[in-house]
Amino acid sequence: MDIVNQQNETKASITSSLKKIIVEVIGEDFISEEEINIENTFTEDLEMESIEIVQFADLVKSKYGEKANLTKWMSDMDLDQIIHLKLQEVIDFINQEISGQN
Amino acid sequence: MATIKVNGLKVHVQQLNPKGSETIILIPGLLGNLAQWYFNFAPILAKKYHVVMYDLKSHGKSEKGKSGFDLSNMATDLLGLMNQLHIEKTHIVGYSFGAQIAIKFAIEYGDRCGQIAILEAPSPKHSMVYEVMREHNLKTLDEVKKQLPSIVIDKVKNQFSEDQKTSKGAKRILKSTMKVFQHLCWETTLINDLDQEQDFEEEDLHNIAANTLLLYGTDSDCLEESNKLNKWIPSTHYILKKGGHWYTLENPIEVAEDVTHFFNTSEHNIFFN
Repeated sequence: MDIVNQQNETKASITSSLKKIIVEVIGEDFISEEEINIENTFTEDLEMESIEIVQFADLVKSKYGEKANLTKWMSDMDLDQIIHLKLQEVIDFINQEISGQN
Repeated sequence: MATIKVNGLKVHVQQLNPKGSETIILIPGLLGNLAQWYFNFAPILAKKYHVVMYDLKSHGKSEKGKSGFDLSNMATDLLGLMNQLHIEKTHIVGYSFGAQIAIKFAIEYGDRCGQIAILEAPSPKHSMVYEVMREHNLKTLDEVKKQLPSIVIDKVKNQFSEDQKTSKGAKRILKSTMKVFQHLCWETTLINDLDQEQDFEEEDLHNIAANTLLLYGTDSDCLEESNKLNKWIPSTHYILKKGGHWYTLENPIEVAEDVTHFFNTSEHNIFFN
């Protein structure tokens, strides 16, 4: 597998895992993996409550380890940036942290 | 999710920088949760300190409780949390009801308490129950318990845009908020506990040994209490910010910097009255 394909594979795997985590946090009665788009924002599109984003960050850390520390990454953002944060940005961040690639 | 058992209930806890040599515990307000600190406020303190955040019982992701929402029991819950985490002594930051818990803790467990930052503590007697009764002309506690969930849901609804009001996500949030309030009002002693709370005794405040930061908004309706605390607690540093009761929630970074500065410098006693 060439490097580009490996990167795509990693991102696809991260995307799949994050969608599962989002469904776990929000509840499958309210959302399915198919309804989640990587362009979705957490607060406006997915309409997650702030405590649910904390839970999401916690589960991401459990799955990917201390390297995928969303809390530390997000601490440099202001509230407006957090409100507009997209799933795609989180996927890119995790991919970069765990594989050293953009 | 990180939970530990305290006084029989599972408590949701999040920690940053566990290697910090001193600990700061953050206590959210009534009906709030640890998310108010998590993304902006706590990371600033965690540059130096071990920061512990937790959800009060029946709030956030902590387990539901039935009773013991009075300040004395809430302070005992904090002590239980410290014991479970093997924290011998801690600084505390509390917001609103959480600030009242911090004061109660400093009074009852002074030997376990370092410095405290009191953000917008109202008078314990001047509680949410009192406000709701006044604003909605309710005469009895039973009326408060019956109507409070709807009153709060209407307030939350007003914060949504017209498009959001019909969305699946908004309905989910409203349903979850309604469930929390119905639980608190109908299945717990919260309303009675709040109603029966008494003001802090002046002598108790005078005996607080902790260096104390008082941070309030200029338009806050809690200023009378801030003046009382400033008068009776021996070592206070008083900061007024241009804003209301919500200033801390609206400006988490600025408040975190003020609080950090207080903890970093107050040990030298450079500005206490």
